[in-house]
Amino acid sequence: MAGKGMKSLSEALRGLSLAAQPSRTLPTRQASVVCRRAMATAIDTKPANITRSVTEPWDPITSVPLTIYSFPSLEPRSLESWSPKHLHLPLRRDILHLAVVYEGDKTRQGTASSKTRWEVHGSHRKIRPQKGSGRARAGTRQSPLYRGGGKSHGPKPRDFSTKLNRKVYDLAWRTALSYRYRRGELIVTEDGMELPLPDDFLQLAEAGVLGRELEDSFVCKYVAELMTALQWDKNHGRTTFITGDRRPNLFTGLDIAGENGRALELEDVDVKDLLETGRIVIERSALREMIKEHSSDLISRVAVKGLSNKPTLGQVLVR
Amino acid sequence: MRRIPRLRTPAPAGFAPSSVPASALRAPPVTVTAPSTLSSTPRLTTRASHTSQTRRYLSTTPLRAAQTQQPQNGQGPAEDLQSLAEDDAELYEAPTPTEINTQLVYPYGVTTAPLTAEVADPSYKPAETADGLEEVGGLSGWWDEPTHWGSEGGVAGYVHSATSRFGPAERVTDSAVLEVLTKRAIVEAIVVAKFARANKRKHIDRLFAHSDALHRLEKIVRAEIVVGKNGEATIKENADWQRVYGVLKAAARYARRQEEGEETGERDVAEAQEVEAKEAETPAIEELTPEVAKSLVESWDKGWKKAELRDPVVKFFVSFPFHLVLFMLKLLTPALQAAKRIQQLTGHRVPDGKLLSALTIDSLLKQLVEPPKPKKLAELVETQGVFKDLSNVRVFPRRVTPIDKEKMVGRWKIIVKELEKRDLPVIGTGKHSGPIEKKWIEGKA
Repeated sequence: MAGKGMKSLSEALRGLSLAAQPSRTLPTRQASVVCRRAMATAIDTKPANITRSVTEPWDPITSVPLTIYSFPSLEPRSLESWSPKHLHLPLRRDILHLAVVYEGDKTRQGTASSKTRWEVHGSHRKIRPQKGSGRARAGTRQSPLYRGGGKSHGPKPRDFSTKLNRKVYDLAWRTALSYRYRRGELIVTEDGMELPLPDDFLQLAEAGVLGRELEDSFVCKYVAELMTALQWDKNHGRTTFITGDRRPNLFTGLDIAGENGRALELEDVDVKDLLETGRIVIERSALREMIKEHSSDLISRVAVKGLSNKPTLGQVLVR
Repeated sequence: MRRIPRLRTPAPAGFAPSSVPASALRAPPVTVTAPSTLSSTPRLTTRASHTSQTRRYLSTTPLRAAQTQQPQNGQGPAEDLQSLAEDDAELYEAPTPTEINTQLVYPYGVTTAPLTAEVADPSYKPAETADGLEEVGGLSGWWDEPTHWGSEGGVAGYVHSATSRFGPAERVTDSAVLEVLTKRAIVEAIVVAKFARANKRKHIDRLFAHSDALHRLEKIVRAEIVVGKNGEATIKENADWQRVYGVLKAAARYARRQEEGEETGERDVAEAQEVEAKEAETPAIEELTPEVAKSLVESWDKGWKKAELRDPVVKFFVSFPFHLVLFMLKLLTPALQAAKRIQQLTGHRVPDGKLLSALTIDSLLKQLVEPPKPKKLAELVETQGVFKDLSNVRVFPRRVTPIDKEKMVGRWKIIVKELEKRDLPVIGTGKHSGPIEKKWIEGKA
């Protein structure tokens, strides 16, 4: 309240000052002449393939392209073709919600604990005689009614984890990836993604002339600038990097410049991580592994003409 | 405090590739060499004062990493090491700061004040509060200073020079220029997909690498894109196919010959001039300004945008030439030609998901020139002009306050006048305390 009052007071003082603008009227947004033009940049909102005539045959897409980039130059290096069941699933918010809640439950520590009246230390001697004192009858001092007594129905360590069918959870993984893919926020890089640090800095660090403070502040600035140049920085919603194992420069650099992004090893990633931050930058093999590990719902026992319809992992189109 | 021992530890265990299984998920050994702490390795007694720690940053260039990994002197027991170090310490000495070729400016000879326990003077009494103490030195803001990065542009210039970017620093935003370059890209991609071995990226890289955005632009964009059968984009004239492919191949061939040697250079120059003369029927475009691009776009038939791009390989290469490198041959003197600077073109990365939904050329273009997403809903409403036909709807960029409402009906000045006449605060409570009932009403007490 006080803060708000101060704000409006200072606002008023500013308004009354001589330097105040002549007109302090609330600006009304009426589309100006410039903005009223038909924007050549507007996206046509008509979605494709929503309705079709019964006479038209149903012709869904059978594969989606996936470009593999180099990092950090972002040069397209190869092209792969993936099944839409892997990277182009429809968005199911409900399934994503189930998965995120499931993960949240599973990661609850569940160690809250309090003592019942039977666990509180002390003698169980009757505090005072049952009758004659003129006061309420009282048993032991561990009674929950007393200060210092036990806690009735208090928390005890327990497992909060809930269950989710594996096939639903795996679908959630690929739904999250598909969501990123469709929004253009899934950037797949070549294997061995690592933050390139300039050679002169590395030599200086090796010679030990900089010291830890200078080294770290250098890397912090360097990473921040690199991310800004790529438009991956905090103003663009941060970036999650996913690699197969720990890469020293990338992980240390993003630890230091954590406001601009985070780096995760594949085994530390969960669905919620895929849905956070502005974009996901993932190694090719890490993505393959991730999809391979999470496709239990695609396995079918039904084989048509001896062939199962399980989609294969990405095929290289252009190398 | 120095953290890295000057002597490279000869313990191969420290620098050997970590004992991880060679899985596909692992980075190449260069990058995964996570040196264990050097404390387990024998250390020089003379260097014992320097704490040895894990190296936090590792080289990613293969050459340097290999140098670092080189096991030095096998088993390396402590006494061997010491004698070695005494004999030819300079051999194992890490490069001294003077040997390092760097443009970075770093503090040299930093002195730190001794800790309280180390002060010998018995009369020294440490201050108990920081009040009135002068602040001296500190390195926390060292890299905030642009001059310390040793280049013109400060950290941005340094990072730009240190990392390769496959795209210019600034994206092309003009819609006409984008349209011209898109047409060029599409024409080249269609042609290349037909003639070249389209699944061999390196082969096509070579074709594209040597023809920049302006290289024979007028010849390439002259090719007319039409809607072929099935609605797929194709090129109308048969002659255009050959011509565009010829332009690309000639540029690649020319570049290769130049690389091969100077002896063929003269003949090439003559040949190139000949080609120039032959192709001089259309005036070459010197610079792709928005005006030039606009006139080009207007000269084309509008139907080309209706064509569809279906082949993913074609699409891939369509998104490719946006990153085409531009050899600034005209601007460079022959002396500098050796160090041909690469400048990149428009830098728009077309994500796969968007490429997939962009069926026609028209929708692809619209995605390229899409403006940045507005931060506020009011901005979006303004740009889209959603309510412009509704005279009774207005959109405000911020909350409409009671004062705003008074202003709208023209009562605010009178209110201010009357309040001032009574010596009451115009906004807020001024010297008076707020309403004491407020907290009861709000249920806070």
